[in-house]
Amino acid sequence: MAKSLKNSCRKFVHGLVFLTAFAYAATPSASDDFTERRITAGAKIFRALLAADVDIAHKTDSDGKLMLGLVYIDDTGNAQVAAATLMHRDDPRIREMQIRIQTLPLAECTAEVNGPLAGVFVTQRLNAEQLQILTAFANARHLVVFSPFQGDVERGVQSGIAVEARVRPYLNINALRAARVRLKTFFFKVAKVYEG
Amino acid sequence: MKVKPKVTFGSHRTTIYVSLVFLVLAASLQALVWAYWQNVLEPRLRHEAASQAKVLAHSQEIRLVDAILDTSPQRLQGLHETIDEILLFTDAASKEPLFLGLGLEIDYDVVSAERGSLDLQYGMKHCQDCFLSEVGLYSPISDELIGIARFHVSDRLFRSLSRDVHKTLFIQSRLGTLLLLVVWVIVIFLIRKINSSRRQAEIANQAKSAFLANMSHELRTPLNAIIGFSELMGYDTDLSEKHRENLAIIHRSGAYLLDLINDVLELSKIEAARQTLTETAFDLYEALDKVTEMIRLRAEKKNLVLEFERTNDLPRFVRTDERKLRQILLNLLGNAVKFTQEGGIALRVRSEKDDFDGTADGDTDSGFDALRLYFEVEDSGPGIAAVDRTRIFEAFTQTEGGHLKGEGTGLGLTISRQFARHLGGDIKVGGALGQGAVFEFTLLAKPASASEVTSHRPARRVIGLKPDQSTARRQPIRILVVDDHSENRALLQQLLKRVGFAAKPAENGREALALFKQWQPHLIWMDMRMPVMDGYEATKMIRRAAAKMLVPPPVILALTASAFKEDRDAVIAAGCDDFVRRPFRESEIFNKIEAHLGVDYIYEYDESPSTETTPSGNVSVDGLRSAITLLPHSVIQEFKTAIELSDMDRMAQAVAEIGEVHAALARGLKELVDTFQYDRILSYLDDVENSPVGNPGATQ
Repeated sequence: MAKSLKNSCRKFVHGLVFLTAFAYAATPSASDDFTERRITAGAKIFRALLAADVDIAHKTDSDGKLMLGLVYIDDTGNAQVAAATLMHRDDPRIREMQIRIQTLPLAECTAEVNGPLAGVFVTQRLNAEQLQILTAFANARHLVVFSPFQGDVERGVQSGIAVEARVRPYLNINALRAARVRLKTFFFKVAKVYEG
Repeated sequence: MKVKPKVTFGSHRTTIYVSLVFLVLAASLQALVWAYWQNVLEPRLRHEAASQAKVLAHSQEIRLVDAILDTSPQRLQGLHETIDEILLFTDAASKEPLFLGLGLEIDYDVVSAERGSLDLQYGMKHCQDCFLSEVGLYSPISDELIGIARFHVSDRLFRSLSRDVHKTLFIQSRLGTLLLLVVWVIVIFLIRKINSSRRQAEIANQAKSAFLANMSHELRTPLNAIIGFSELMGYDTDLSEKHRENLAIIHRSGAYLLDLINDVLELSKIEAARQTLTETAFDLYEALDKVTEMIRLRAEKKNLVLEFERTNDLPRFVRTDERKLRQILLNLLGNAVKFTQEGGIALRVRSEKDDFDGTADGDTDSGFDALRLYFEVEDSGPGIAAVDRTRIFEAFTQTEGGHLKGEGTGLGLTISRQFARHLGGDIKVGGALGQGAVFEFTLLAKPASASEVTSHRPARRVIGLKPDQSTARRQPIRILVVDDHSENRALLQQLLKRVGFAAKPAENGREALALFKQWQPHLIWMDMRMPVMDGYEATKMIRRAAAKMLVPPPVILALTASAFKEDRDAVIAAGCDDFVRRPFRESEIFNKIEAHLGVDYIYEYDESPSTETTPSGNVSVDGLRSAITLLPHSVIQEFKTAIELSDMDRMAQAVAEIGEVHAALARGLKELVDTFQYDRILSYLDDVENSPVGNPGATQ
């Protein structure tokens, strides 16, 4: 009787330890949650931004689709979140144009290995050198580059999000000029503009 | 004398300073609160209110977007209804509308409608105090920006919030100020209390000083008369031996009383930290000899042996406070004689170099070198019990033996220890009960050279002015004696007249001023504390009168009974040329007159031990010579003849004749005759006869 009680207790403790470990491993960290939220909110703004691109109709691929590049460095986790947000909508089209999502490492993105891109969404924080490579590519191709990461707009990325009482587009006016990306004037009325 | 408290501005100043500090603190607090509100709190509240407005406005986005994207024919009506409903929203607290105005701007590239048909404007278009919130309207399907909604959100919430916070903040700041006020009142109260206590202490101190000054004056003034007159009467040759002895007792008692008063005053000065160090270069050997001689007489009376030892390396000339050293030695040796009934007393003195710079090699050139003098007074008396060894240095404390003796004030050792400490040393006591006492004390001194040592002029008795010591018109030197005590006036007058000065008395300053104008004395002895007009005022008035009358200013010498240096400084500041402390010695009076008027005296004989003393040790060569000059020529000739003939009877007869004129001289000559020093007497008589001045007595 006592032996069976002892075994039961042991099993209960083991179970408890296992459950705790599992729960801990399964729970994403606060930092991951925060990034995911910014990516989800950023994806919607990214779509609005592409819709506001005056020249978006000229940026389709050979199939007439808008190819959106989701850039990562070594982790595709955020890229998948962004892809899901962009794709899983009632109508994923932008300005009634079909979209194609490409999850790409930076090198492949800038080489446009799968065809011409209509816009680039940064899914992993880039260092200065990587950012410079991406900016040079975007400038050459007049592409919209969007980063949901805080501080990237100030570092030279064309667009991002400003989170205050509400989420707004955040535009680097000089970076947009450098890339010769033309946005609807209307869009600037609701966006926060960085002119530094 | 009633002591008036000094009205000091210090306490008022402190109160004003403290009040100013609190005023500045209160003003700073108000300014800080105001600045905090203006620069931090109010902007933050406004920012928060603006954020709230944005959130409120943003919450209406979906409803507006739905209404705009409605493709039915009733779209416009639906949009109007939606906006009307939004503008109906009121604040639950204030019951006022939340939105005061709403305008739409639609992107007709995205929304299929006639251009401008949906750009509606409701309520206020411009609102100065409202928060303007621009909300982007995004299509929920394509995420495209379809338009902008501009909300004018009421600032009512901000105003009420701002008012509440502002009120709370300023109530807190008022409370802070009130607290500061309370602290200020407490501090002022405490300052006043402290000042009051300090004033009380000052009054008490002033009362003590006044009491000491009074005591000093009131006791010294009659003592001056007692000691002075007894001294003066001592010179009277007509006195019988019995009267002379009685007079000596009066004189000794007066001197003893003066010592007691001096002890009490000295202790008061020590307690008030007013004692001063008067360093002079002096002959240590001579000082020690004098002290031991004084004590030896007392010791011999009790059949005690007094031994005096000093090491060979003890420097002869040193610089320290001689008076204090003498007082310590006299006190310790006096105690030893007082308490020792048989055996003896020993005084041992040695010295060591005391290097102040702390170098161990003893190289005195490298630093300020000094001497440490070690004194040891050992007696074969009853000794001091261990329990009494600390107590005996406390004021008014005596050992059991001291109480039994019933002598002294119990201040001697206290004063001696303070003096020793003041001179850089200390006193300690050793020995054992029943085996005698050993007092050891040290002090610091600096080495001095023989040239630095000012020769101590022997206190010789002045018996007259040398011839031609009068003024240009052959008038005697005029001296005015100003004193409210008749006995003191009389004493000084008698002293001065006896020598040959013309002296007049004045009872107070006013009388002195009148006499100065009328008589124009060469010198004035001025008592400083008198009724009607005191010495300070009189001195100033006389100085002014002399300048007005274009006459030479008189020498004004103050007579003060004060024991304090500050009072003496005040005397000089008042215009006096010098001062003499009461009770004075006759010699001090004449020395000061000599110093200021440059007169020359004829002296009787020296009172102090000298290197050239007669066998009895009390008549000096100079004294004898001076006195002989006063003798008539016939007497000198008769004395010479008697000596040359070795006629004892004629010599005795001559001495007796001289005794009728000068008793002291006669005693001195008799001692020389009795010890057969005829050659010496003859040489003195020859010197007087052969001197260019001759003997003025011959012409008198």
